[in-house]
Amino acid sequence: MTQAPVLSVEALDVHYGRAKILHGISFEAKAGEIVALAGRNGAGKSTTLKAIMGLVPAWAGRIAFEGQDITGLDTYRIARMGVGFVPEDRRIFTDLTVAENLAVGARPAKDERKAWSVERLVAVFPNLGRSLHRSAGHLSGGEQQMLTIARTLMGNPRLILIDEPSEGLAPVIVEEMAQALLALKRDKLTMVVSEQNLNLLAAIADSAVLLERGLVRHVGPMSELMSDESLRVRYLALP
Amino acid sequence: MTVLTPDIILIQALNGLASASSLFLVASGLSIIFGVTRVVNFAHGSFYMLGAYLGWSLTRHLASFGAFGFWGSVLGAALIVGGIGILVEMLVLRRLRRAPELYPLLATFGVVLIVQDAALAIWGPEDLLGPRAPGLTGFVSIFASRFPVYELFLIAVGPLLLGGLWLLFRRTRFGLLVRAATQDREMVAALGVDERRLFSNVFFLGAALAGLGGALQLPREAVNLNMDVSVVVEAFVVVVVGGLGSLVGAYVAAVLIGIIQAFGILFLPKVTLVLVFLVMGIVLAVRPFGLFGRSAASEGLRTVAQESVLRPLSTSSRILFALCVLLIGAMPLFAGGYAMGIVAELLILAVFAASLHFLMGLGGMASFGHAAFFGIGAYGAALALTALQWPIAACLLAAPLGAGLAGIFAGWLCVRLSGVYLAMLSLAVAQIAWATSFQWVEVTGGDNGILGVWPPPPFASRSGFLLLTLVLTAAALASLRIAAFSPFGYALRAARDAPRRAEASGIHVRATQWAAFAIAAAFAGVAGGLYALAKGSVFPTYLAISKSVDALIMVLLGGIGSLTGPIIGAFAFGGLEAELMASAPFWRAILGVVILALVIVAPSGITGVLGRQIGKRQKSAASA
Ligand SMILES: Nc1ncnc2c1ncn2[C@@H]1O[C@H](COP(=O)(O)OP(=O)(O)OP(=O)(O)O)[C@@H](O)[C@H]1O
Ligand SMILES: [Mg+2]
Repeated sequence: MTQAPVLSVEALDVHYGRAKILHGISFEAKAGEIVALAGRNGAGKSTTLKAIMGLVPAWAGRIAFEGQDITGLDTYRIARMGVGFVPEDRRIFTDLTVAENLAVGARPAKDERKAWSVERLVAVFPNLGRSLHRSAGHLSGGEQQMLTIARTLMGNPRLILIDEPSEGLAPVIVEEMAQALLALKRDKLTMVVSEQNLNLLAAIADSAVLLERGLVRHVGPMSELMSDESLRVRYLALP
Repeated sequence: MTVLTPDIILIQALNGLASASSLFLVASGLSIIFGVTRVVNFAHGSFYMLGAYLGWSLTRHLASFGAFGFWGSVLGAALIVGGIGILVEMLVLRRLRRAPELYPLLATFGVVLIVQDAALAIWGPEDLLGPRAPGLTGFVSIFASRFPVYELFLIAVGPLLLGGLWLLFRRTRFGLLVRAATQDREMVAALGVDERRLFSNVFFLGAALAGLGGALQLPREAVNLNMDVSVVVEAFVVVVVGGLGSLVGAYVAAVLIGIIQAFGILFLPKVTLVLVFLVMGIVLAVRPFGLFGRSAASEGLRTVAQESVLRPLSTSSRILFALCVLLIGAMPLFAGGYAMGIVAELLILAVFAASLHFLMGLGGMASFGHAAFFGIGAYGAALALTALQWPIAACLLAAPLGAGLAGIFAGWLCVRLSGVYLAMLSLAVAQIAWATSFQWVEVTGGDNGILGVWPPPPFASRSGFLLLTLVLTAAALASLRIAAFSPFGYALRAARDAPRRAEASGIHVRATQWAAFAIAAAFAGVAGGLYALAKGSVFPTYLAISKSVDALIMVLLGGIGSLTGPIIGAFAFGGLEAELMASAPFWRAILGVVILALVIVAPSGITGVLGRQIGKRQKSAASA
């Protein structure tokens, strides 16, 4: 049976002003899969995710979610269709409490899957449970990162785009993050994770898309990236 | 000297609290709208005025229903104004969401002009007296004085409203989204919230609050056509002093301002106007983000849409400019006095606009009080000429000197801030200057201005004055151009585009911006001094907000991305205004529509549109 991929990006171009940043990006994410979006600083990872989310306009190309064309839709419509976005700089609402942050993201589920609730989220992110009524600005960096993911999950998305979840986190916290993402994966959530931390990607991702200066240079299973050192050196400057 | 007896203190304090409530009604809406949409809504005073006028009309229609009629009218007026707020948001501001923040602000000023003329057309120029509030017409005795019950009611309205809004923001989903969007509206959209609906609702709430404030004024004061600008400027002061986005701050600031005004009238009637802005200046100098504000809300006010690259003039443009100068220089040979007078004025406006462009286009500092320096220059020249009897050259020097000194002081205050705060602080400084010119009657002649400011021969004739103006304005414009391409100009642009990087490469960002502020002020002074001589008189209106807005319009009309822009903008705007004022009855509304059309249809200004046309032609020529 051929099922439409959850996400398909075809020949996506993005400009910022006069500068062309993305040159014909194409890749797919299949149901329940975690796709790693890797590349050096400035390769265009964040821009790709923002373009999928409609936060920056796509100049050319087509983006489809569960077979439906979402190119050019308003961001909130894309979110309501079931795409969640976790931005790179966290952007929690520091003036609001943790519970209020979660409430902003809350939307009813559209499919038969069990809807997320604060209780279920606390089971996945135990730290949040201890500070539900504290101001989100007082959370530690790791807790804030967990909160952005939890907040997005409250919208019951079927696909989430996560931008650099491990940025600035201590190794122990990254490990916790990996466990949390794996728990979500067991829940059949499809994910695209932009990341520079190979250890995290190796622990969770099924396939990898390597970007370099706005171009897709390589697409393949995550295991291939882990076994092929030349790929890593060439596109990630990592051994 | 007034004797302070306990009853006077109490009564003035109560008066202050009553005004504070009215002010808070307007300021809270302004603050909420700014928080969520980042629009500095000049039209908020118009919402207030419309509330008063609509309330007046409704109470007349519903007069037979007694108390229900009155309170129903007040509520009805608020709701209608809320609806008008939604219209403004949907028809105007929604189209400008991706434009630099200055554009929505100017657009709301266009709305102000349109509403002024609409109100004039509908309700006429006379002040209108509203009814008393049924059930609250009595007085209570305080010591030996009588105090109106309605004022007591108003005093209660402020805190009640504050409490109501607090509940709305803490206990409802709408309030939750408003607070979240105040911090990061893009993120809110990414979580599936329809920003447009949220914005419309916020505009409804904010406008309705202003409308309510206006309608509640009915029993207190006559409805008139000047209510809008005076209240919006005070509301700006309240919001900025309280801290943008903080409702508690807005209430505290409203009380502060209300009390200062109430006691100011008692002790220092001559400086009441200045006092309020002085307080604002002091608060911002000590706490740049207001009493309860935090720096997070102070994002930069983008003035330039895309990093604009300045190019030196092409040879053909140089020739064109030289021809223009020659043509104007030859005008005495063929043109009439009226035409020469107009052209001299347009040249002066061009320098005024170019000086603001220097600050705003190159420096990225949007000043809302640039007219202050224009006016100070005008008063400087006029006083030097009439009171001091100085020779003309000294008078023309006094103008930029006075304005430049004022600019050094104002710049010292203003460059410590950025974005909206800078814009508002510059507005406050300008209002201080305006109020001074208005209230310091001994020196400035107050409302009557200074008359008989005519240049001596050989500049007394139209042709002589035109040539003098041509030489001085051409020199001024050329100097601004040279400055833009000098190392100082590059430093200024670097400070605008990437302040951190500029600082790292050895540019003292603040000092550079401060110097730019003073230079821009001095050149505005040149324009002001010449303007005084061109008109033969000086009035406080030269320093008024509308003059500052004129300058902004000229810069944006011409196009902020080019140095030629302000010159073209000044000629287009000055010409249009002279034409409209002479002939059209509702010229303000027409001007308002022009502003809206400008920011919505051609945000890159005349030079931007021309540049694109020329670019297209060159491309098609190259491909042919
Ligand atoms: N708002 C913007 N305006 C202009 N250029 C931008 C903007 N945002 C990003 N860029 C440029 O686009 C390119 C891609 O940026 P992007 O943020 O997508 O990279 P990234 O792969 O996410 O990098 P990082 O690992 O540093 O987050 C970079 O060269 C960047 O300088
Ligand atoms: Mg990134």
